[in-house]
Formats: sequence, C-alpha cells, structure tokens
Amino acid sequence: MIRRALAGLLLLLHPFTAAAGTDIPLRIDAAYVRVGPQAKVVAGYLVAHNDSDRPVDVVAAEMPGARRIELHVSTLDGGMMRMREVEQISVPARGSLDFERTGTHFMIFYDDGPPAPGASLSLTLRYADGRTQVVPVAVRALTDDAARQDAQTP
Amino acid sequence: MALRSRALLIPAVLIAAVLAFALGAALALRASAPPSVPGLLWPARTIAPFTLTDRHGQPFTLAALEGRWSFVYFGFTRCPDVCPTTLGLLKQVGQKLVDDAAFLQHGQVVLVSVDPERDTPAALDRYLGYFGPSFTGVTGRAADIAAVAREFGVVFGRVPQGDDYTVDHSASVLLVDPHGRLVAVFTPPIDSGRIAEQFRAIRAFVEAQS
Repeated sequence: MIRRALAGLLLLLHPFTAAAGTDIPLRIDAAYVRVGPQAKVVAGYLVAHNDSDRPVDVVAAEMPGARRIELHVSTLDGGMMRMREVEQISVPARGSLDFERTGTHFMIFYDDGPPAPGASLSLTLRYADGRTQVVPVAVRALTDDAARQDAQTP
Repeated sequence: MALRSRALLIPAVLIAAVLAFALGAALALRASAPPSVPGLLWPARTIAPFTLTDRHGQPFTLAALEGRWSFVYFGFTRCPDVCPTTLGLLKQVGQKLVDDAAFLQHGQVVLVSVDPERDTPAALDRYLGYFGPSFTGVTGRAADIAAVAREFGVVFGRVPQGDDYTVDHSASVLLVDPHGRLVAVFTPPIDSGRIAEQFRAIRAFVEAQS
C-alpha cells in the first residue's frame, strides 16, 4: 500500500514519465484566453499537434474559475457566420489543428468576470478515450490580439 | 458679310458640339467608371429612414450616419469569437487612419445588435466602452432591426442551442458615407490593413463625385 503510494508519488514527480511516453495525447502550443469587452463569456484558443497514428478527440475542457466551457466552431457559410456547439474537437492523426484559423474555440463562461490579461491559467482537456491533460494557458487582451493578427497578415 | 459670318458660324457650332460631346462623355465616364476597389458599391445605395436606440438610450436615426464616415457591423455582445475579433480589427483600422483627418475627427464604428432581446443599451454601453468613444452600439425592436438589416443587405437568424440560443449573422463590414449611403461591403477575411487602404480609395472616389 505504502509502496504503491510511493511509486505513484515518484511517477508524479518524475518529469520524463509523462513527456517520454504516449501518455500525452496532444502537444499544445500557444494556448490562450482572449479577454476583451465581455464579462460573462470569452473565447480560448490553442494549436494542437497530434503525433500519434490515430485521431485524438477533445470532448470536454475545464478551468478553475470558469463556470462552464463549451466546444464551439464558427463557420462562414455563404457570407453568414454560424457558431455551433460541437460534441468533440478532432485533431487528425499525424496532424495539427489551429483553433483560431479554423474557427474552433473554447467558449468559456464566467460568473464573476474573466481573469485579467497577464494571468496564467491551467486548462484541463478531457479526451474521448478517458485520458486527460493539463495545459498552461495565457490570458491576453483582445487589443493585443488584433495587433498580433495584423502583424501576421502579409 | 452675312455669307461670311454664316461660313464662320458652321465650324463654330461644330466645334462647340464636339466639345460638348467630349465633356459629356468625360463626365459620364467619371460617373460610371469607379475605381476597381474591392467592396465598393457604386452607385451608392440609399438607406431608408429608421429609428433605433443607441448605447446611451438616445434615438439613433439615419441622421446619426450623416456628416461622417461609418463602419457598420451587425453582431451581438454574447458572440465570443467573431464579433470581438472584427471589432478589434476595426479599432486597428481607425489606428491605421490616424493621418486621415476626415475619418479621425468624425469617423465611427456602429455595432447593430442582432440580439436586441439581450443587448440592452446598458449592455452595449458596457461592451463598447472597451473599444472607445468612436464606437457606438445600436439596438431596438426586433422588427426595426430586421428592417434596417434588409436595407444594408444583411441577414441574420436566431438558432436554438441547447436551452440557450445563438444568432447567425452576416460577417461583412459595411461602409456608410457622409450622405448616409451604403458605399462598400467588405467581406471576410477581415484585414485591417486592407480595409484602411480600401477606405482611402473609396473616400477619394466618393468625394470626387460630389
């Protein structure tokens, strides 16, 4: 019993245990929550890389302080912008998914207002196969974000 | 003498006719050949009078669009992704037009709510305060907003989403000239640098017409 607990503790403490194996479903880049004019609902984005041979499906997300997080996709359909809640967000095998470029986002609901720009958050991703992953998330101001998007425009 | 003046008169009339024709053609050409600026709508489309309510609870009519350039966007404050992105980019457009006195002094961005049930003037005021005083928000009776949307060629529709709802809406940004006419429709992807350049070209063209 004690031995098992100790082994578990070692597993938790050892930084390579998670990174080296296949335990990490996705490599996550540039995760951020964008705060702007809204107090109750904000959008979160990231870039996910799937190094495995199977698609990886995100089915839920949680974050301390947020009341609820929904998975959403905005699509442009004949000039009409349609935003829909989706059951899952699928990252293709040996591929990547850039949330922002594909209209994909976390819709994050707050009761008492979102965190301030500059804060660091932890987002828990839940996958279809039952695995979970915690990723660090930055908080950025919308106005900085627009400047960044502009900088990327050729 | 009479014969001589008649002989002079005929070429004079001919020359005058040719000149008048050339002038007419040049004017017609100027009016009918707008620059090839993407988004430019010419001839401009007049907007029928309307009465909505602004973020301060005051009436917002066609007169509020006159005497200034306005970027108009139909959206709503609970839209977390596309609407803040677009309004943020329109703020960037304003920053790129700092050397454009006509826009800087009187230009405005108008958010017309497609969710008037939840977007009260107070909600719009809180929301648009983030972007600054040159941003205004407009709400009103659903039927009045639908009528204004039709005038601008904008479509929107409420869509149930679980026990809540969202609103599908046109993603275009519209440009209204100081005569209160719709003169351009910018379709996505919205790019602030491109819109600022298009604005300059369109403003120069529209001002040359009047």
